[in-house]
Amino acid sequence: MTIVLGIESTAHTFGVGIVKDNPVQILANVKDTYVPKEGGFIPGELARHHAEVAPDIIKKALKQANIDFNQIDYVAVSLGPGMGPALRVGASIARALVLHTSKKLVPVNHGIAHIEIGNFSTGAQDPVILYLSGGNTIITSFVDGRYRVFGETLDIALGNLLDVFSREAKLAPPYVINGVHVIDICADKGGKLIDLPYTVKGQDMSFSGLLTAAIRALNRYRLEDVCYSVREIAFDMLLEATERALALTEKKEILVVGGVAASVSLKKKLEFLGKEWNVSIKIVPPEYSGDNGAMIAYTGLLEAKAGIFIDIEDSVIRPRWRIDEVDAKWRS
Amino acid sequence: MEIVKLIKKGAEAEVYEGYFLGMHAIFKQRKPKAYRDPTLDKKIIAERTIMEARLMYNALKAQVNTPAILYLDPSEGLLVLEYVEGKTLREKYNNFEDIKELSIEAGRIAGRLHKNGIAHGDLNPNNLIVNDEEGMFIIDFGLAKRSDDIEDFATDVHVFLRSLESAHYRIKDEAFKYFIEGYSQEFNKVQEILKGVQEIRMRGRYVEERRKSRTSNE
Repeated sequence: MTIVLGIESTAHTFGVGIVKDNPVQILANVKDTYVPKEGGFIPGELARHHAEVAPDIIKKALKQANIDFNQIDYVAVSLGPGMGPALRVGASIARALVLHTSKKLVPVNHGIAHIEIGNFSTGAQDPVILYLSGGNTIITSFVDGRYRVFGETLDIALGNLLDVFSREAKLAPPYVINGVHVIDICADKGGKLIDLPYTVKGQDMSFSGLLTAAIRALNRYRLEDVCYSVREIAFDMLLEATERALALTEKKEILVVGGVAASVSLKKKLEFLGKEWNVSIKIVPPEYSGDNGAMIAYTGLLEAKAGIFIDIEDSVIRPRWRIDEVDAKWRS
Repeated sequence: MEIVKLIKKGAEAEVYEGYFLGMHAIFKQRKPKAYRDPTLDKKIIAERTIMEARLMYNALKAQVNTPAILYLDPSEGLLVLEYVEGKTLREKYNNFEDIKELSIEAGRIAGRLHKNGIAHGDLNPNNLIVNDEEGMFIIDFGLAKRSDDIEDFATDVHVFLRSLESAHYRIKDEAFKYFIEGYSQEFNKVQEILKGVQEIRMRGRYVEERRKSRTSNE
């Protein structure tokens, strides 16, 4: 039996997961997410938060899995992409954990981890993947050894658009109430479409113009109608780009992963799309949609079995590590 | 008017083959999207149908091979076009056929469109058809627009490069080199355009080139 401990600390969440194989089972998934009282994240504050909670989270994960640290075979860590100061905390802890032991270090790309935990938890075989979060909006699919990017945002991420708009409209923080994003709560009370920029360039999307125009529209229109228009236009852009990827790849599944995967209104739209294209829609369950340690541990397990390790000396953080730079040897 | 068969279910429209007043024709029918807000849906469908026909006609006037327009109904989202025989550039690339000549020709078409102020909006190898007698045709002006903006032209080139990278990565360097060769034969702003392509790529998330260029500036 192989047991992997995974550490996630690319952005606002510090998480630790523990996974075993034969059969694959997630033994622990513990996390702590930093929520600023106002405004966005200050990278230095994130790092301080992660460093403070880390020892406790690791202990809780080991307790949840009911194992001793000596039983762990490999330590997996997300080396990127993400914010430098936050990444450094996870990487330092991972290095410290394997130092002076025979345990090996496994480098994990955060985006790939979102995808693989999605495949694992939904049973998706060969989907077109929508990776949607506060930092990423990527339409990707596995083709010949790598997850290739079919479309992505050309500027800000979809989740970032929704969060910043909500903040500027004084709807947030908190951004999510009872599992529903505040823009959805607001949008459900609206229904009149305002003319805002709809920008699809081939298979890529641009959200920054929509954000600027929406913030300006707050002075001239009903808040609920602005919420509705931002949400509809943003998701419709995403779905149009997704349709292009479906037409190009001819794949029969759509898998949605990342923090925005929990959106109920997106799910509704995707179900229409699924019917039109005769594709099945698979959405990562809430416990694995946001950043978490289990996805790092699980991907670390796949990689370890394919012989992917990294020496401590080489384990530098990679804040701009794209998913299409990773050779997904474990899938070949 | 007679529809024979569905030949492509595209991202935006269904494309049928059939006969229109006895002519072999393509029927491009934009479909309402169930997921889309109805107001937005109607607006997008009518606007794109009109724009598509107008820009195809402009391209034809600029000596770019496009199918002739036979009939148009914006409110229904219907466009009827002359049928062009041939394989798509995507199929040709998949069979590794005439990569050099076809890439040059694709580049020429893009260059000529841009020189005449037309940005295609979805310049990928699926939208180029190779006809044995009359050469290469460009289709699907659904996302095209009038423009003199380097950004729009660079976006076209970026989309073409992106398609090579995702669907034809084995031949991408060769195909792109010849594409640019053809492009520069027609349009003299190729350096500006390539700089624009680089800028678009750098705007993407987590791009390695961006970090490198920043380091080299320091």
